[in-house]
Order: sequence, then C-alpha cells, then structure tokens
Amino acid sequence: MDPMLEAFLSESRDNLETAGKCFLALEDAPNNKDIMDELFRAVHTIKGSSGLFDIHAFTQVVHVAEDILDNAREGALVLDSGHIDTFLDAFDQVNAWLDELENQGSLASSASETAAELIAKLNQIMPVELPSSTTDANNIDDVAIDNSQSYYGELPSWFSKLPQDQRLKAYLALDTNSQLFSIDYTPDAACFFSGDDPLHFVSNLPGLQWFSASSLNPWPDLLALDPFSANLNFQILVTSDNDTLQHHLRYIPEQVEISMLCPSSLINIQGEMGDLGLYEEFCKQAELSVVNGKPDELLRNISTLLSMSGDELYQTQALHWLEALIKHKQTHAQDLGTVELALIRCMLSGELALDEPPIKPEKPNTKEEHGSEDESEALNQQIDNLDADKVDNELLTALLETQVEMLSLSDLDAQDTRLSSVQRILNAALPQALKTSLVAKASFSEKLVACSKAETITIIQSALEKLHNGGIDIDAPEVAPPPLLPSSSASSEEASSTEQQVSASDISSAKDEKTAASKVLRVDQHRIDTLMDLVGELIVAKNALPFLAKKAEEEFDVRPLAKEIKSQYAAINRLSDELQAAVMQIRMVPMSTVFQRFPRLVRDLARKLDKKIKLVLEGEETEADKNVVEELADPLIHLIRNSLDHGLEMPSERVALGKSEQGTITLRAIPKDDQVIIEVCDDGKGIDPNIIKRKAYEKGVIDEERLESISDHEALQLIFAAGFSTAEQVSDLSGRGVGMDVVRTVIQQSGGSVVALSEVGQGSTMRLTLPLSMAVTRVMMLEVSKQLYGISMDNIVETVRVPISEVQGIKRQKAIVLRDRLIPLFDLRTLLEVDDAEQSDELAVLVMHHGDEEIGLVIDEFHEGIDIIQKPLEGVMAGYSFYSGTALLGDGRVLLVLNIPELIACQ
Amino acid sequence: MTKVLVVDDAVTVRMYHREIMEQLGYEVSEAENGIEGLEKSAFSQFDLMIVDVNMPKMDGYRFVTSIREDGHNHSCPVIMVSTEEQLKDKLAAYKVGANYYIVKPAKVDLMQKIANLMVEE
Repeated sequence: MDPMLEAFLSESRDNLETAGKCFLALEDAPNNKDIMDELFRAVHTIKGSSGLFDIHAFTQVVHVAEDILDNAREGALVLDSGHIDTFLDAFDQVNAWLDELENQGSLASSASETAAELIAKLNQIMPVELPSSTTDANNIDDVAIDNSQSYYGELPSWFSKLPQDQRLKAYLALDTNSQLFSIDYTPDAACFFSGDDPLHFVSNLPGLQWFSASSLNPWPDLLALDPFSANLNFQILVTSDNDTLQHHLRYIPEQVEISMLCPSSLINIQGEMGDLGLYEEFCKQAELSVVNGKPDELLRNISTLLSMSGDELYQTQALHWLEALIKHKQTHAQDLGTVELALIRCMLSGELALDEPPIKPEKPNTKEEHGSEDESEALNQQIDNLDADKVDNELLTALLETQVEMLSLSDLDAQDTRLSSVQRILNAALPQALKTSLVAKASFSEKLVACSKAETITIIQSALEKLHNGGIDIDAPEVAPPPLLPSSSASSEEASSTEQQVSASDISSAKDEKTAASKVLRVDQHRIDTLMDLVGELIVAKNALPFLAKKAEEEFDVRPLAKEIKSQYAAINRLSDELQAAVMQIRMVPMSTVFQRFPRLVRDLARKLDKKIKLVLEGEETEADKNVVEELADPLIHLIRNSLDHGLEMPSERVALGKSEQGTITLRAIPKDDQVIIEVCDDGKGIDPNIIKRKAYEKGVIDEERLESISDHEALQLIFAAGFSTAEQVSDLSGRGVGMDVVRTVIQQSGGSVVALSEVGQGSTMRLTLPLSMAVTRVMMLEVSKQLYGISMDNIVETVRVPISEVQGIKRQKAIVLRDRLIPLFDLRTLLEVDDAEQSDELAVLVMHHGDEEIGLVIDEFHEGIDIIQKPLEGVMAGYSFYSGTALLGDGRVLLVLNIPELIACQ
Repeated sequence: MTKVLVVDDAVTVRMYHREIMEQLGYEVSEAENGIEGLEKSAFSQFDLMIVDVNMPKMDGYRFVTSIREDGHNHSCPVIMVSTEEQLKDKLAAYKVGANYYIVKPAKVDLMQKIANLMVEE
C-alpha cells in the first residue's frame, strides 16, 4: 500500500478513537474547553490529512463536522446528546470508509450519497447563521474567484435572454460589497433521496436576482418518467459577495458551476441607431450635467428626449438605462460617474465603451488585505493555467507583496528578525538582473543588510514595479520538480547519504524513529498458537522425567541415576516454565481492548432506556491472554446489559430513593496471582434473594427441601441457572433471561467462575474469575477410591487432615471448624457416586474456594501438583459438565480434571 | 545542503511535505509540535521552515513567534500551512512573522516553487 495512505489510515483511526472518547466525555462535561480543543484538533487533523487524497465525500463530511465543532468550541452551540449521536453516526461512517480505503484503495461509488445524507443530518445541528465563512479547502481551486477583471468569466448562453428589467434590477442591486455571478446548478439525480430541495435551495441563495429552471435532458414519455430522479438544471443570476456565496455552495461544489461576470455586461443596449442630430445637443448638455453633478437637470432632459424617441431605437434604450441609474444614485446619494458618461457617449457612437468595470469591486477600508487574500488563491488558480514563466513572475510578485504585508503588520516585537528573514528571502528570490537594476554598483546583499524596514519596503515596491512593467527579463531559478510520489528509493538514498551531516540530535532522533518502527512486530496469531502448543507438549513431556526417576530408583534401584535425572528435571522444568511464561507474555493483551467497547454501548443503551448512567472503567491496563480477553466480551455485554436494564432504576425512582439521579456501573479488572478478576458493579436496586428463591421454586429450579435450606448467597447464584429470569417486563435489551446462563457457561468453558453478590437497595456485583491464560493449567492430583483426579490449583486454599471427631453436623450438612471458620464438608466419594472406602480416624480435606465461600472436600489421599494441558471432553462425554477436561500424564495415564462447582451444583 | 524543518502534528501531512521537499533535494527534519520544533531548532540551523498552525502543546503561531525572538534560526524563512483559508488566519500568520501562507492541502508545484524562491542558494 502507498505508505502515505497507510500513515493516513492509522493516524486517522487514532484520531477517530480520540474523537469518540472526547464525545463521550463531553456528555458529562459539555463545556469543558480542553476536551473541546482535543476533539476539534483530532477532527481537524483528519480533515487536513484527508485533503491529500482524492476522497471527496470523506473530506466533506469531516469538514462539515469540523465546522460545527468549531462553532461549538467558540460557544456558539452547546452539543447535546442528540447532536453527539449524529456525530458518532457520522464518524462510524468515516471509520467504515477508512476500512474501505484500506481494502479497496478507494471509496465505494455510493460514498457521495452517503456523505450527502450525513451532511444533511449534521447540518441540522449547525446554527442557522454561521459567524464565519469558509469554503471547502479541497475545492478552493474549483470555486475560487478573483476580484480583478481578468477573472470575469464568459457570459453563459442564456445571458442574452435575460429580460431588460431583470438586468436593470440586478445592476442596481450591485454595490461595493457584491459582485455579479452566474451559477449553473445541476442537482444530483439522487438529490431527493438525501433530502435536498433544489428549488428551495435556489430560492434561498444570497442576493438571488433571477433564475430559470429547465430539464437537464429532454423529458421522457410519461410512462418512462422517473419522478424521483432529478432531471433539472438551474440557471441563476445572483449579486453577492464571494465569501457568502461560496459558503452557501460549499457542500455541493460538484453540482454547481460559478462564474463571476462583469457587471457592465448587464447593460444591454440594442436597436437601430436613430438620427444622430437629435442627440448631439443632448449629449453635450448631459456630459456637462454629469461632470457638474446636476442629476435633476439631466433627468429633465432625459424625459423630454424620451418622449420624442421611438421605443425600439438604440438611443432610447440607453436613455432608459441612464434614467434608471441616475434615479438610483440619487436615492443612494452617490455621485454620477464613468458609466453615465459612457452611456451618454454610446448614443452617438453606437458602442458602449467602458474602460473599467462600471462598479469596481473594491472595499476601500480593506483594500490591502483584500489583495493579499486573493493573491494566493489567484496563484493557486493560475498555476495550472498559465505558462511557467508567467507563473514564476506572479509567484514572485505574490511573495514580495506578502513580505511587504508582513513587515507592515509587524509593529510588535522582534522587528529585526522579521526584517532579516525578509532580506534573506529577497536575496534568494530576486533574479540577479533585477537586483542590479535596483541597487547600482554595490553588492545587493551587502546593501540590503544595512536597510531599515522602510527602506526594505521601498526596495520591494520598486522591485514589484519593475516586475509589473515587465522591464526585467526574469531568469527565474530553475525549478523542475519530478512528479510526486516516485519510488521512494531515490529520496531515501539521498536521505541516508546525508544523514552523517545532520547534527547529533537529529541523528539520535532518526535512530529512535527507526528502532521505534521495529519495536512492534505483527505476527499471525496461528504461529503463536503453534508455539504455544509446542510449549504445552514440552511441558507434558517434561512431566515424564519424575516418573522416570522414580522408576530408576524403585524398579532398577539406581539411586545416583535417579538423582541425576531429578536434577536434570529441575533445570528443564525451570527453562520450560520460563519458556511458557515468555510465550504467554506474547499473547497478553490489556483488558482495555475489550473494555473500550463499553462506554459507547452503555451510552447508547442508557439513552434508549431513558436512564442516566455513568460507566467507570478500572484496571484497564490489566493484561490477560488474548483468548481469555476475547472470550470475555460477550459475557460482559450480557452482564452490563443486565445491570442497565434490571439493576439500575429510572432516574425518578432513584431520586425518590434518595440516590443520585445518575446511576453508576463500574467495570473493574483486578489481577490476582494467576487469575484475573473482572467485576461488573452497579448501584442499582440489587437482587432480592427471597424473590429469587420463590421464583426458582415456582419454576422448578429448586425443590421445597432445598428452598428451606438454601442460603441467601446460594440463592443469588440461582440466577445463573438455565431458564431463569427475574425481569418483570421483558425488554428488548436483555431478552428473556437466558443471558446469565450463557455467561456462566462461557466463563466456565474458559476455566473461570462467576459469582453474584448483591445487597438489596445498594446494588449488585457480578464477579468473574478467569485464568490469565487458558493454555496451561496447574492442577492438584488427588486420589479417591484408588482413582486419580485433578482439581484446578486456582481454587485450592489449603490441605488439612482433620480427626473424624471434629466433624459436626449442622442441619443435614456436615461441617468442620477451621481457625474459627465454619467450613461445610462435601464427600467427593458421594459426589462421584463411587464405592465407600473403609473409615479411618482422620479425614483428608481439601479446602477450596467455592464462589465466595470456602468448602472442604473430603478425599482419600493428596498427591503432587502438576502442569497440564487440559483438553476438553469430546463425544458423549462432552455432556458431563462436572468434568472440566482431561490431561495426559507423564507416564501415559489419563487424568480426569474435576469441575467442583458443577459437581456440587449437581448434587 | 538545504535544511528544512517540517512542523506538523499529522503524520500524513509531515510525510507529504517531506516528500515534496526531498524532491527538491532538501534535507528534511520533522517535529510534531511547536515544542519539538524549538528543540530541533536549537540544535540545527534551517534554511526553511514549513509550519502547521493548529497543533497540540504549542501551536504554529507561538512557535514562529519564539523562532523570531532569538536564536540562530531567527531569520529563517517560514511558510505557514493551514486548512483555514480566511483572511484573518493569513494575517495572523504574517503578524507572528511568517513569510508566506499556503492553504492545505498544499499544491506540490506551488510549494516547491515558493520554497525554491525563498531558499538562498
């Protein structure tokens, strides 16, 4: 891909992300200047960079958004949530366009329609009157119009059909601030679908004088006519100032053709010449009246003469114009001038001779500024049209004029440095011939250095004069730029060969850039998965060594060999652990990758539900295995939806309860040993365990006996049972309560667990505990009924041996007291429904976490801990959820890994 | 070797301006904002600076003002580049001491010619 496009894509995506964050932040703090500035800058940068590519639709949308944001930034508009929705939609599309650009290298053909729709929506936000006037930067060359006469466009063909009274009206409407434009407007054929109303648009043009609509193509038969497709062409005449007009047309530059017309072209005098004798006397008189400024006298003469002239005569028409002009000027207290004189003279010559445009477009107060504004636009336009010499000449003129302007503006500090920068430029820019003609004898640069500001300006002005007179043959500096974007090898070679000359700081920064580029390596995930699998195999293979050592010692009685194998094992064990950690590290991604989705989700849902909700993210930087993080997304969406929908109350309810109107959802990640804990907390109404109990009983999830004995905490966990829903109303957000069941299943498949905690009226917390990585699991082996089982080490608290006399019975539940804590006992034999063993005086008890409590698991014998690659059960066995998987042991045996929470739940 | 400093917060635009200047055989340094620009300017003497207006940390106006205050780049020709094409924006640029103002996206041809005129051989 083009490296520049690539840079643009990644830069714009970053900026879009920033913009998205800012919009959300603005909702909480609508007037925050810093956020507004950051937002504006992000959008501004996207727009600026997009101008470098030929993606008109894209640039337009971002440009409109930027315009509006600029208004908001200056306080002309306060963005509310509805506005932000519109913006977010628009930026979603911009994001989609970036993807299109990446995949196809260009925007789809429908982009301009989409853009028009988005712009129409964005425009609804925009305050009616814009304080500023801007044109689409991208189109400046298409629409920029200079004020000088040479830029008057050709008269359009329809111009001759203009009725006389319209011409007069338009002419009189012109003043010092406005010019005459003809616009040829061809609405997009699909414009009705983007909500455009071409007629309305035309009627609202600033300074509209006249327009005529016609069909673009001949109208087809009535049967073939598509009334939804615009087949229109408007011919429009307006008198307006350039900026206002450009501003009005800024979103449809491709649909309009504008040309500025010479105002005098409105004066259209035709007809046969009458008898000159009649008019000679009048003309003499009239000229005197004009020069002496006596309009009343002139008007009297005109009306006398008009009564004697035939309507179709050339002179008569001239007289009508003259009369109207004088009357107009009288009411506006303006002096008569060259136009009137020309009109008078044409009555004798039959030719209207206007040396200058009748109304010179100038703004007396801002004359100087105006010139500079136009010059670069004029230059931009000229560059393409004129021949090279002329351009260089124009360019040099523009550059020199800019320097004068800059010097005359610099009435502040640092005058000397400005002056010397100007002198440097003069020295560089002026051709030698011009220099010698300006400064006789002495070296130009030496002379120049001694010049004051005023003297320098004088030199520039005389240089300008000479340039204009064309007295100097300019041998402009040779500029022969090769076409842009060549294969970058040439320039990069050049760059590298010059690097040695760069100062120390530059070299170090250049190096930094290079190393920064190589710091991130993009690797196909499959390769890492393969690596991870291999590491897994290695760990299993390594586990064979202790068995081998045991065999050497016990079967072959070679103790020294056994010892050696053991020490080798220790080394390999350490290395494989490190290898595993290193590979795991590659796959670690921060939680923020999944957390980032939620601010937008919460915002959208909250608005849909009319609730006020703040989402707080904590511990985003916590890292976990990529698979774990990815698996987490869906369960979290379910949990957050639930909090939004069922947990948090309506604002009015909250206020009635004495809570703040705005509810809070906290999404929190906490690293803990080899696990990561994710909590979704809300401060809503909480879950009432009694309601859960009752519902569970009604739905047959629990029986009457269990209903009596179940603890509140256990009752809460029933929300994760299949087919359980407490929502009194089914909303379109959380569906029918299948969510929690799915959450539990997904989390358990990832080797994690989920617990619900809640306090009625205070809110609830869903706590997910997940392994940092799903690849390698450490399990503890234990023996029951002479069979080996594994239990995930993550949940094991401690192992104790308890005399059987200390076991107490509470209700129907056996329990022990361990360090003042009551720990309920479960017999693994009973749970697994295997044969009872002979009773001993002591029980081996594995104390482990079960949800938020601790339980004791009675087993026969403890064995060592071991790292395994856990494989899920397949086939018919896959249905047994109380086995979380199997693993291969070093000696080839298969180890069944138990899922204790499931096992207890199945009881 | 002619040295040009391109100051702009947009990577894409820096890349574009670098390409334009490198075609002229100029050596290009880049800075992401005014502060970085001042750092670069403190260590090297430049023959031309191409400066964006709207940047974080330190904008183009403040950067050019600082450049004109003192230091060995005080008389360096400066082209300011911005998407704003209004008169007030141009005047603001001239006011702080910029020698030319170009509306973004700058035309390759225009920029190269102006740069060529402004740079001393």
